[in-house]
Amino acid sequence: MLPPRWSAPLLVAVLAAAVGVRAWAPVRDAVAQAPRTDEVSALLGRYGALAAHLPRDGPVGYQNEALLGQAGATPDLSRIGRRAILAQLALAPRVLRLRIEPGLLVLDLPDAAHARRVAAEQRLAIRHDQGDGLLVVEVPARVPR
Amino acid sequence: MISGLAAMAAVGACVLRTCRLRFGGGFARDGVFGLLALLVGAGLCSIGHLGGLALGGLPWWLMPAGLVVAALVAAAMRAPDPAPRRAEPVHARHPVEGLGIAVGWLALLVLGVQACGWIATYADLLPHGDWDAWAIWNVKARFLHAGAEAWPRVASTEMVWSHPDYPLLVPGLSAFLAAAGDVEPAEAARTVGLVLPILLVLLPSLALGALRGPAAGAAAGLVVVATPAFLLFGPHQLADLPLAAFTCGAFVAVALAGQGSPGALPVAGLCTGFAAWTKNEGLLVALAVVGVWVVTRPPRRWIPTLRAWLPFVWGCLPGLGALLLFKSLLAPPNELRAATTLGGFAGRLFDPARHALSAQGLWTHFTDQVGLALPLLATATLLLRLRPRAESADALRLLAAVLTLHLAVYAIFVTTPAEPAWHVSTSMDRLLWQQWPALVVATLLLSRSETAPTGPAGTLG
Repeated sequence: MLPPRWSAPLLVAVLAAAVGVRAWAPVRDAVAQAPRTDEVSALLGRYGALAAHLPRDGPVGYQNEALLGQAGATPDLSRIGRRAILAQLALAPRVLRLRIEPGLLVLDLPDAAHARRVAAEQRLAIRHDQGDGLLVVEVPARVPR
Repeated sequence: MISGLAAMAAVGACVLRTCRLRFGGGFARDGVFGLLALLVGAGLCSIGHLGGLALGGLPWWLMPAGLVVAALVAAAMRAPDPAPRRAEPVHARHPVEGLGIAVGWLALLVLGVQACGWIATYADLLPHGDWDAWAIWNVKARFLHAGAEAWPRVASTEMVWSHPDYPLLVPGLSAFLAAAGDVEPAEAARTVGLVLPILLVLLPSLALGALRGPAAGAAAGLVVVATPAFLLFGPHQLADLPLAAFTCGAFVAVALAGQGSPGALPVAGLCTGFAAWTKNEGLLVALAVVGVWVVTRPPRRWIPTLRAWLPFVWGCLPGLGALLLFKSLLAPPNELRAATTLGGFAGRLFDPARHALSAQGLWTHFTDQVGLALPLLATATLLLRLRPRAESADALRLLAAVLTLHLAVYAIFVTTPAEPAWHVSTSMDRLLWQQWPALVVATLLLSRSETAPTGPAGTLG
């Protein structure tokens, strides 16, 4: 037995508003507490995951990096690796050096504490921490999406 | 970037005019036309930008300007348009009914504005989007942005992680807006990611408002707003929200055609073609919609039905043509299809464990992600009263089409050559969200109309 038709819009509005407020409540908290993905964490997250796709045996594909460089339209492809990737991202003036190796990501950051925090946030295991910002992080074989 | 968005709207409005969809049929109807114009313009400008690159790198504005001129010339050569049909109330409104409608739209406004705030905050937290945005769509956009020499490498098999066979509507749109605004493609993608959630709330609500009255319109918007997991895909900058928008646009246009809007069927075709040019699974939209319309009629009516749907097929051509050219000239074979053999496919199809996994994925999506919005949708449709069965044939067909799409997603994950548990956990909810606004529209179209358009009704064969 349904309520009268004339009451339907009001009932729907009240029900829907209650459901909507309830649905957004946890999002509000989650968004409010989430850290901003700054350029360094973006770099780690993105290219950490990219490195996970590279074969663990054998060299990093030269062609891959050339293509990345081309996407960034960088004129300097002579030392393709890190420069091309940085140019492709157009990111991270604070990242001094970056190298991707199969399964590993080598970072040289100006701030060691920041590098460690970012690696922890991205759940990347630290293989080597020199203390001055040079950080070698291990990239999982399959990064959760 | 404003100039790029304005060019999209202008191209879309001129094409809708050529299709004989004319503004001036009431606020909700005009709003729907405006949103459809934006969608159609987005698809055409994306394809036009790629065409400009293929021709050696034309200025960004040349293709949109050419499309506007061509559409205006075509519109001038057509017979005069029929007057737009205005929606009239079919019964006197009870005071409480009017109050309910006002409360509904006010609630939608408040929740919508609040949602926009959280979406913008979230977008600020994810300046480069989520995984697929940086690994696939924005990388491709950068190639398209790099110019006429670099862009064919967008389909290079050297970048396997970016799925070189994926269609290019979303990267093309980012590259177009980036060129128009002289910004980086990632910034353009961020703007698209902010505009789409708003469009995906407004389109179902205005469409239902135009087709079933303001109470159903408010209900549609409120149901979509009640799914933050869906709307927050915007800042992720993935292609699933654009695909959801084109799918929803196609369903809305088919519904408009069924209610006698001349020219809505080619617009439905345009949106459907663009869905296919957005993601590989978008091709299923055309098959599901036309397939359901044909098979639900007796075999002797199949040919006349297909003939009535010819304008839809013409509308599909830009999107499907771009897809065909890309797949035949540039893209490598799809990795999943390449890994599929007939024997392997049959083995997976009859594997009960895979069916259990896929069913579990469906269940988790609707219980955990959609949550209370699904019972809310059903309750709202029932409270607003179901239409008589004789008047709801088109709405039932649209619902059957969207359920067919859900079934297709289920089948994709049963037969995937990838590791099924991983594939379900990483992709299934996104593929199901692509159908969500279309499901809301199709379900609420089953409700009784408060208004009826005047003038002759249309036919869908």
